[in-house]
Amino acid sequence: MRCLTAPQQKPTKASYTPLLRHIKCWLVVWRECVNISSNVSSCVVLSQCLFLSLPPPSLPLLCGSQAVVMKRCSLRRLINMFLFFSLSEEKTQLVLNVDKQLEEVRELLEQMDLEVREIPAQSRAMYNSRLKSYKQEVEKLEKDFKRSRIAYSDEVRNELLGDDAISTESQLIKLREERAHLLDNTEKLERSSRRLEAGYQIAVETEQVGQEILSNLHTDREKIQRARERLRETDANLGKSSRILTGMLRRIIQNRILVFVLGAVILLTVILAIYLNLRSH
Amino acid sequence: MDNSGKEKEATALMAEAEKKVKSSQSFFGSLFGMTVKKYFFKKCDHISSLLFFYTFFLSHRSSSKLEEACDLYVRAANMYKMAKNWCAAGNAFAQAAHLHLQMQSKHDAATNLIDAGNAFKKADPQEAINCLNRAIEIYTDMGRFTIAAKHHITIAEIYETELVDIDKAVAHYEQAADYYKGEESTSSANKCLLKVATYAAQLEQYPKAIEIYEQVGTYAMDSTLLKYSAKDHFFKAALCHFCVDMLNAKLAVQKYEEMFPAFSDSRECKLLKKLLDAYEEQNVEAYTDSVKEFDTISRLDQWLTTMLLRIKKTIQDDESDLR
Repeated sequence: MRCLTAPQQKPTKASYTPLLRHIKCWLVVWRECVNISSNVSSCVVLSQCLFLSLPPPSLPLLCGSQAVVMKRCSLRRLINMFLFFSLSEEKTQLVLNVDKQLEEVRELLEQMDLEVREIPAQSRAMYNSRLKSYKQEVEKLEKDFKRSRIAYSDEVRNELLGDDAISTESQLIKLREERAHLLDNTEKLERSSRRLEAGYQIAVETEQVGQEILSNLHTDREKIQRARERLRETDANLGKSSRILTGMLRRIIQNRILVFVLGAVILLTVILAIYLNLRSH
Repeated sequence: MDNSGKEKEATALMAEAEKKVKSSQSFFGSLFGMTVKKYFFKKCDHISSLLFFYTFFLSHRSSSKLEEACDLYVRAANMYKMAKNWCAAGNAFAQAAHLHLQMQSKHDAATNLIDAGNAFKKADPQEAINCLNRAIEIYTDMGRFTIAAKHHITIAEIYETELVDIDKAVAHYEQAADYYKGEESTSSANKCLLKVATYAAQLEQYPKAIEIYEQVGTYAMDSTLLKYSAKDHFFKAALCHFCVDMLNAKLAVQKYEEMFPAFSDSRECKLLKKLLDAYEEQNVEAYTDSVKEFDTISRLDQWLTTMLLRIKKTIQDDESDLR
């Protein structure tokens, strides 16, 4: 609130003419800047330049011109800065600045209105009309500024969303998705490693069972071999015994024949003896 | 079931059989039959062989009585078995065997004694062992070592389970293994020897156990069927070495790896190496960890846990000694 702190001086008509002349100058400057750049964002800069260049009416006119000159330098610098660097933080800062300046401009216009009412009635109409035109211009600038801000934010947003999507909300969602995905993967890995271990255990058990079976087979193999040997022996023995039996049978038959032959011989001898006996009688 | 009926029948048969035995034990039966037979067996020429046949028919009555008595005893015993009266069945079988011995048929006697042993197994283990021992004597007399070995194993099992007498069981297992070796059935012999080794290791007779395991392991290495169990035998041998002394174990492991390259790939060998390292560092936790890891994959059985626990105790004792 620079206006209130400055000492109050009763303005004269003479003091206002250079002021208004200066305001007109800066309006021309502004219009020139608009012609130079068609960019909407530069409207912001230019409106800012205008408001920065507006000197507070309560300052004495001597230092007012100095302030104007200073403001002009800073204005130039700002334009350069804005046109060459396009960092988003700088832009937001400038936007805030512009807002502040707009408020100050409104305050100044109110004060100018009050002071215009106190000057003598002849030139009051002229100053009133000029004041009205300034107010209209200020309103126009405000509207432009607002539009440019909206457009600026939308445009920048489109630029960003098109390339990076760095907006924080979508970022969080993406992070959460990735996290869930990774947890899923880890779980899958753990499950498969557990299954592999179980499979390995079963394989080892199978191997042990196989070992037992093999040793049993080995024993059985030996048993079967032994049984085969014994069978062959038995077979040989049976053959031998059958030969012995046939031998025995033969001997029995021989014996029987012998017995019959002997019996026949004895009978013949007895008959012969009896016959000879009878013959001799 | 008509068990009581069977029992009564069985007792009746026994009584009948006893009567027959008594009747056949007359002067005529015992003396005449035996002597006549012997005499005519010796003088077996053509004519007298005919005479022999006639006299045999005469004396046949006594031996036929004994045979009938045997038959009756066996039937009675089977009926006692059906009635689950094991003691009586065993006794009946023993009587039948006795008669068979009198009739000089050793085979039948032995078979009946085996049956008696099986019947007594369920009731009176000591009596069973007696019968089985008698049967084994008969078999070894006849030269049937395989069957004798099999029955040695049966006796050893009885000593293992019912009359817990590990020493005698080990003795019988050894005898069985010797008989099997004599009959060239190395596989069965190895089975018995392994049992001997497990018991020997449990009773802390480590040199014997080590020898047996190494022997069985080397034999198994060469056979295509058994080579997958060879690593198990070497592992056990190395554990026994470990119980005795750590250096022995190290040398043993190296020796086995040389002999049998596949041993070094096995999980058991890896476990051994870890245990050796843990023992060197006197680190009980590393020991326990490696044992636990091995256990998760393949469960450790009773024998292994006992041996590993002994080794662990030696580590802990060493630690406390050092402190």
